[in-house]
Amino acid sequence: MRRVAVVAVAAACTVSSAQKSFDVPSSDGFRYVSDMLGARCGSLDCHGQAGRNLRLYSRFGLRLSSDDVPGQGQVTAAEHEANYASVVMGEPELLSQVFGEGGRDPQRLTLVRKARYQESHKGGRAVDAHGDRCIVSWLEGEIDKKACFTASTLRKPPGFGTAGGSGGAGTGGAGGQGGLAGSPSGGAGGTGGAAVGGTGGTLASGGTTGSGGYTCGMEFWPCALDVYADCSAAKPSPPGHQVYAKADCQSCHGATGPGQEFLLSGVVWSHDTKAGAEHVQVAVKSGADFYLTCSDQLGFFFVPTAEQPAPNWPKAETHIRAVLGEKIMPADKEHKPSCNSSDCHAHVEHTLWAP
Amino acid sequence: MRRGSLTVAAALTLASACKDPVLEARVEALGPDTGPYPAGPNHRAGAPCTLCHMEGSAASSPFDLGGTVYARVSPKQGLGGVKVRLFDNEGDELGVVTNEVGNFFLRKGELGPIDFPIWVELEYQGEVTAMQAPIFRERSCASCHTDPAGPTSPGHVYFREEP
Repeated sequence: MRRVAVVAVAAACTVSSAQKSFDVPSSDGFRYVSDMLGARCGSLDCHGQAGRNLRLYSRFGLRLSSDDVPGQGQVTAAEHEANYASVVMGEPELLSQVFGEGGRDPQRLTLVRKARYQESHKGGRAVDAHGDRCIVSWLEGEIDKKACFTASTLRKPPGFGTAGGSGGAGTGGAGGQGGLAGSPSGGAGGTGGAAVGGTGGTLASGGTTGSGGYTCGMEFWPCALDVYADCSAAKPSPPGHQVYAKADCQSCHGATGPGQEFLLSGVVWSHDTKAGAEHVQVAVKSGADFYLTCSDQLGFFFVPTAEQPAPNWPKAETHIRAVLGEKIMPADKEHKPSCNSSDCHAHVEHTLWAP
Repeated sequence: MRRGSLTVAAALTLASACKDPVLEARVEALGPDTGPYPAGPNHRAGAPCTLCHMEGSAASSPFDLGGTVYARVSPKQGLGGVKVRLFDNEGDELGVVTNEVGNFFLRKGELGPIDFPIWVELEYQGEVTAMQAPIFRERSCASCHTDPAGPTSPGHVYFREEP
């Protein structure tokens, strides 16, 4: 719970002001709600605009810092805090009432009614069941993080990110404007259409993008790969291998070690269980090459050498992702094959926790 | 005679009352078209098309959607022959190809069944790049994709970041 103070100014001949305080849902964990609202409501053409009463900052929408750009970099703590303020200050009295009654009748709040499209909303129904649950759980006092994260990851439509196969596209239509291409039966209108498609790379655990490389915008993760993908280790570590969980994997799995040679390797941990975390996507992007792997039942992950070129480590980007979010390794940290070396993630202060 | 004049005056009053002063101001803010092309498919590359090309605005031909695709971040050169693929959540898909200056547009009705939110891919010579977030309601790319890039805009639409 958090108390917010609102200064109410009574406009009259004499100026008086009174500060009122309200008990409202906590900002702890609000980043999960914030991420969901940002993804579903905060695009640049909706609430990601400075002129909005409900102004939302998000990764692909409006940014708070003058140094940040939509689509680049994670949402900052300051942006989450600004979103919290935006949501809380909309109807503080009502919010306090709803929260005080354990989240009962949340539709008393404009935020909820608009999101559910129970009242006029240009964006229509903005949240799905998970998104609704996310907001309501926050109002109830215990955020359903999984619902929030599920709702914050927009499902891409069928065909999107598969790079082609939609038939021909015309060029030189009326007045030089391209003709239309209907899916899936090919182009209509315009002439000289050329069939394109089938060039998108495919991704395999531990592999790199296929020929024709699917370059997907400014985003780190390829469009075709979403977090719902079944992320399982291609080759789980053998029983008892956890005794090596604090060791530098590359000492055995490097070029001169006795084990299978890895390009990179490490261990990711669950903060809840303090044991290895399974089903975590670990990826390194190096130029056009994308290296992807998934952690096994003990939290181990690796990318086999398999005649692939090594990443250009000084310029590599490293992300990990799981059902509750994503972590990005800061650019100023040393990216290298041995994630688990003693001065890196094997160090007690730098344990690699899963999102 | 007097009655006729009053009717005309009333009609003019009604007509002017229907104008949108905010829209007019935004169109005015675009300034004159100083580009090398006359009004037509090639003109005003990089401008928010539907500001004028919407019903009730300056241009006579309303668009469902429009924009300009550039080859790179810099130099800012329009890229023709890019297939702009539009997808919606119902599985509907539509493609339109940019013209020689990088402009593309769909006239009113050409968007067909495609409904917002719309996901966008660009495909050029077998390579694909895609917007990571869908368009929720805006019909002009350049309304969000303004230059320079900053906290309120990712900058103009480009196909590749690097040459």
